[in-house]
Formats: sequence, C-alpha cells, structure tokens
Amino acid sequence: MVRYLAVRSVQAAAIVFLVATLTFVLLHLAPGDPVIASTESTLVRREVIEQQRRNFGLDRPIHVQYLRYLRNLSRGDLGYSFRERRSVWHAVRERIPNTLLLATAALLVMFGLGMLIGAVQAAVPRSRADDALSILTLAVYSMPVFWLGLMLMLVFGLGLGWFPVGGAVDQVLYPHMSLLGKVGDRAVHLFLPALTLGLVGAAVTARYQRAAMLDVIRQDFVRTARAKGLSERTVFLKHALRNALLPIVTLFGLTFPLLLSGAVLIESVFAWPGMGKFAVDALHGRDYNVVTGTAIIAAAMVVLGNLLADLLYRVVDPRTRESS
Amino acid sequence: MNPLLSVRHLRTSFETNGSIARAVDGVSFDLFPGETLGLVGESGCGKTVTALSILRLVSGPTGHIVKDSVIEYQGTDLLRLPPRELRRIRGAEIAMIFQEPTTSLNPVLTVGTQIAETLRAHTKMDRKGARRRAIELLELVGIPDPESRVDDYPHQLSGGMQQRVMIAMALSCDPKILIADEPTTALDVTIQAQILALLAKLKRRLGMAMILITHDLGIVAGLADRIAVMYGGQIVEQAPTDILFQHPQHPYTEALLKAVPRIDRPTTRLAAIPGMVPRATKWPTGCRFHPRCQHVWERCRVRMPDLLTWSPEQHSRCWLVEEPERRQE
Repeated sequence: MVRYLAVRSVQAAAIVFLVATLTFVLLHLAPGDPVIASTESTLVRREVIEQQRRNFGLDRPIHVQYLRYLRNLSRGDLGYSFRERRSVWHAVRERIPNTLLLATAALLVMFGLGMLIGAVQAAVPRSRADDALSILTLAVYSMPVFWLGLMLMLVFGLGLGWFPVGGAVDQVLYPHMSLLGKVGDRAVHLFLPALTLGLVGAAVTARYQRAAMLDVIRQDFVRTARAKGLSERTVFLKHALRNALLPIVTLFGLTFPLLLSGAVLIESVFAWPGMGKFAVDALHGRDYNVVTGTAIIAAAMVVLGNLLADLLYRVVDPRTRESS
Repeated sequence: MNPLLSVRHLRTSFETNGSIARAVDGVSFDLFPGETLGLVGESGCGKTVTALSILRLVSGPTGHIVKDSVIEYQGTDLLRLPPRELRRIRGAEIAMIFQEPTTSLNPVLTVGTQIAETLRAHTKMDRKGARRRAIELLELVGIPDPESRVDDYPHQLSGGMQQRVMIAMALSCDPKILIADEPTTALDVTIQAQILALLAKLKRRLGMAMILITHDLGIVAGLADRIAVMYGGQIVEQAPTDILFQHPQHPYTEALLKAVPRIDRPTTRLAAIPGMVPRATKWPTGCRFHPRCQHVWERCRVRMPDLLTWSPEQHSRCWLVEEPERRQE
C-alpha cells in the first residue's frame, strides 16, 4: 500500500509538471500578452507598455521565463495575477470551494440518478419503460452541456421562476440571512448548475449501469443465488448490483476530467464564481499565471480523483486487494 | 415406494432468432428417496436444461417450459407453484451444484456470507448462528482451517475448494434432493476423484437422493444406482447401472460404452461415434439417433419410437426392442 501510494505520488508530480509545461508553452506561443490585453486604449504610449513588460519580466526569452516559473512553482508559488493584482493562490483559493461544491453536487446527480435509472431499466429489460428511458438517456447524452444549461435556465429560471439563474448566492441579501437561510440560498443557487452538469453524466452512467446489470444478471453466480432460494430482490440488490458496481467505479475515475471541463462551461453559463469561470476570464485577459495555475490545480484534482477511484475499486472488488 | 420427484413429459424450449430450439423434448423419469440417478449424454443433449427446469431456473425472455409439463415433488407440481413457495423449495428441499465453481460463486462476497445467506433464507438462524453453521459445513466438506477460510473470497480458494464450498452451500439446509450438474468437469482429474468420493460419502451420511449429471460414464458407474441416457432432448435408455453397462439396448448407449477407452483390453484406436449431435432447432425426423446409427432401417427414419419396455427395469427408445433380429453384429 505504501509502495503503491509512493508510485502514485511520483506519477502525480510528473503529470503536474507536464501540464504546467504544456500550458506555459502554449500560452506564450499564442499572440498577445497580459499587458496588451489589459490595455483597452490604443493611445497608451509604447514606452509605457514596454516598461510594464519589463516590470513583469515579460521581455525576457521564453526559456528564462519558464525556468523562473518552475523555480517558483517548486516552492509552491503560483505567481502573480496581472488582472487581480494579487497572488494567483489567493485569488484561486476563494473560488475552489465553489467549484468543489458544484462538482460534488454534479457527481451526486450523475451517479445517484444514473445508477437508479440504469438499475430500473435492467430490472425490466426490453419493456416500454426501458425503451423510453433508453431514448431519454440517449437524448440527454447527445445534448451539448451549455445548451442544456441555457434551456433549463430558460424554463426553470426565467419561465417558471423557481430558481435563480446566476451566481452562487444572492448578492444583496446573503450577508443578512440566518444560517438556515444561507444554506437554503446556496441550495437554490446550486440546483440548476449542478443538475445541468450532472444530467449528461447521469445519462452516461445510466447506460453503463444498465449494460453492466444485464451482463451480470446472466452470470452463473446469479443463477446460484436463485437456486439457493433467495428472493428476486436479494438476488438483484445484493448479488447483481454489487458486481455491476465494478464498471461504474471505472467510469467514476474517468469522470473527473469531464466534470472539470464541464464546470468551465457551466460556470460561465450560470455566472458561477468558481475556478472554471476564473480560468476562462483569465484566458481572455492573457493572465498567464492564472491560466497555468488553474490548469495545475485542475490536473491535481483529476489525479486525486483517479486515486480515489482506485481506492474505491479495492473496496468494491476483493480481487484487487491482493498482495498489498 | 412413492417417488420423491416425478418428471413427466418435460418440454423446455428456447427461442433464438425466430427459430425454436426444443432443448428438452418430452423427458419423464422418477427419483426415489435415497437413490442416485445418473443423467448421461453428450453436450447439447439437454441434461443441464432438464436439471435447471426442475427448479425453474430456465429464465429470461428466451427460455420457457412448455405448459403440459409436470414436475411433481412430494405431490406438488413445482411448475404451478407461486414464486414465493417455489423459493422455499429451492436450496432447502432441492439444492443444486454447478459445473463451474469459479463462476458459480459470487466474487465479491465471502464464502461464509454466501453459505450463511442460504441458511438465513430458510431457517430462523441469526447472523452468528449462521456463521457458526457455515464453519461446521466447511469442515463437513473437508476444507482445512474452516474458521479462517470462512472469511475468504472465492478467488482465494482453488477450484476443488470452491466446489467444496458449493457443496457445503447446497447441503446447508439438509435438502432431500441434490442435483449435481457436471460437478467435476471443470476440475483436475485427482481433484475430481476427491470431490466424487466426498459426494458419495455425504450422500450416504445424509440419506438424500441425488441426480448426477455427467458426460462421463466412468463417474456414474461408481456412483449411480440407475442411469438415464439422454440424446436429442429425450431419454433414450433407462436401466439400473449394472444392467446398462452389461447389456445396453439402445445403439447410442452401446456406442457411448464402446467409446470409453479400456485399459484391460488391447485397443488400437479409440472408437468414436460418427457424426455430430443434431441441433435442437432441427431434430431429425423419426428416431433422433438414426443418422448416426449403424442398425438403421426404414422404420427408424419415419417414426420415432417411444421409450419401449425391454424388461421391467430396462427401457429403450429403439425399434430394436420390437425387432431384435434387425440388430447387426
């Protein structure tokens, strides 16, 4: 186990290093820089721009800038945000909880709803209900996530007025709310973005879950369970479902990158003050350090998510627990 | 003596791509208390489907048991039992072990859990009691160190040990009938002998009846009191074991016995039965064995014989019973 974690840590460090390098190089090769991007007027004098570039070290050759960035990174310093005028870490830190909240809620929707739908379908395969749910999941799966978000916003936010259409809290009233009120306010703000982000994943999960269940239900040990005189309920929930979890855990590991890239879109659509929206805004402003920093943090989250999936695998499947 | 189990004109069909496979096509037999019946035949002859039909384990949208079949256990027809009451028979009165122990055990549950859940489904035992009984059962089937093995997962055991677990599970509620479907086919030869010896010993000790399904005549020779030979979804010959081995009446039984290599006689080549088992979607007309039979004549091609009585104890589905002079040497 210790050895396993050590190997995984080295892998994680290598991945983070690669992500940092790629992002850094691609950004610097793209036209424009933070000084130009922040200068709205063309009347600013050339000398002022040059001066600013010198201040930030942007006039140095790219490899010098890169080595300096790595040196800072190795000390845990993500650099300075040109737009926020403070350190990247400080700016990102207050946005991470929002993204984590959104991602966790979306995960719950994705796996809770998805596994439920898939299991229901597998319980009555090739029935009308199964067919209807298959069509529904395929339809949702085919929708672009931002479009789905806009539609939900249109119907439930603007049309019916049940949910707010943007932000994480009510900007005006939130500070004056009771604790319970604050929780409620966060919940109603969270609902639509989390649903949007989770629904597409739920459709994928449902299709996986259905296939996995139908695969398991045909296996010999399910027949054994029936031959023992167990009820269909026990056969389904105890014997079949536990085994059908294995492919779902694999899916769980693959989900994190999708979840974070989805968050980038959803946070922009719903004006959700998270890391994704921050990164997109930073990209438009060529805020080099913020883009690279958020990419690194996202990479770290993906690596952690995969580690979590691996550990879950060990919980679910005793055959992977061997020799540790 | 009344039979414990009476199977009458059992028909089980599967629907595959529009065509119907009549896997079991009119099987009838009796099983008496304490008796071992061997069900013998090549792959695809309907042995396993017969066994699964008894506990109504032929499920899914494709397979079904045809309506007028009867499977009577101690006077009640299992085919007409509501699911709830059928579950009380499954595992408690009639238990089953399967060909592949590796895939027949649930990989994510410990063997103790799997044995205990059978006990808890059929008795009022609590969790602790069921676990204690599971350990006793593991000991009964000869698993060393049962106190620690009870917490093992199936993959931590060898194939032979896994089959012992299956046997422990099947015997947990003292069933009156044990159906063993090719219980040793997936195992090494030496392990096969151990498992068979174990089955014979436990059967004697617990006094249950057994249906032993196998393609291996050597296995039934030592264990079965009576043998039913299956071909093409039907029983083609039924007789007490010694009579069947000494005076087989059906040409298929005869050919099967000839195909067993002997070490007490010089043999130059192995005898095989020419041709292949016909497909269940398209049985031959007349006698189903006629395309492979060396005695075949016109009548065999046109009409299927019933299971004809050769002697009170021996029945053969062959026209030779009526026209023995047709037999060619």
